[in-house]
Amino acid sequence: MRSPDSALPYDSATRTARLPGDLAMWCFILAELLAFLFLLGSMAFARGHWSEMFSQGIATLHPEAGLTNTLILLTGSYFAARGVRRAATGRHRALARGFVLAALCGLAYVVIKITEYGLLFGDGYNLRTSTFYFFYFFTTFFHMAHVLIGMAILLVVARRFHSGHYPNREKARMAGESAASYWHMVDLVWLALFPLLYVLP
Amino acid sequence: MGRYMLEIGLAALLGLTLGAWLIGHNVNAGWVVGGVLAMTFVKGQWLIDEFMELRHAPRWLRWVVSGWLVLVVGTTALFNM
Repeated sequence: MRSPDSALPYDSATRTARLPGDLAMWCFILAELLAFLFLLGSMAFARGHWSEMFSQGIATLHPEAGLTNTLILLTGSYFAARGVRRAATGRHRALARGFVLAALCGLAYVVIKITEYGLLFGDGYNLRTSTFYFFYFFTTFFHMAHVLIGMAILLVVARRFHSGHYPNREKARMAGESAASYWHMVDLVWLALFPLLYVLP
Repeated sequence: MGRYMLEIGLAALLGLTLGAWLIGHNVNAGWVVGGVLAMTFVKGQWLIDEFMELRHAPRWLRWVVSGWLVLVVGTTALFNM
């Protein structure tokens, strides 16, 4: 019988259907996705229903900030995914490094987002200005809270990898994949939000 | 190519993001909304399959997460095209 330590999760010849990470984390991720489904669906409806109000509101946003944040989050997801792949070959320090880089991308995202909020507040816009600004501030702040949670998860797991906290390779794999899956979920939600606020005419 | 799959994927994701942004801000045509949302779907599905590694996960999970993407992009298309 194969021990967990000798498993080769990325060998395509031996690969079978396998959950990336912990089932409990996936239940959490799916609950989060359900909440964002209602939020993004409501925003899509409102955008179509009050198209003039949304067009005027979107014109006051900072599209370069939205683009930069999307590029940053995608790069962060890449670092997390690369770390998980390298850890599968026993390079645990590479995972810690990848997760720290992903968290730094998250930090850059948060700094840009807060700067954008500051500019909008400075121009006199807030949650009560109109339905558009309610959706904009509420949805993006809710998403940013998830970025912060994801950063905390990545940094905790990176620290544990670095200090050799996990007793065997299987537990290390579960922790690394669970953290990365949450981070990718945050990125996936932003990919769906990005066109609604920063791209579509 | 398999070895550099993540790097190639990242380059494609960044390119599609930049391309969609440029189209959305510079092209005034009827296909723009559909084109941008199609690019969004491709990016999301690639992220689900490769970064999330759901391509080789139990099928129900891949269907649920991909279904989420279809619903969000579909709802956006439904009310904004």
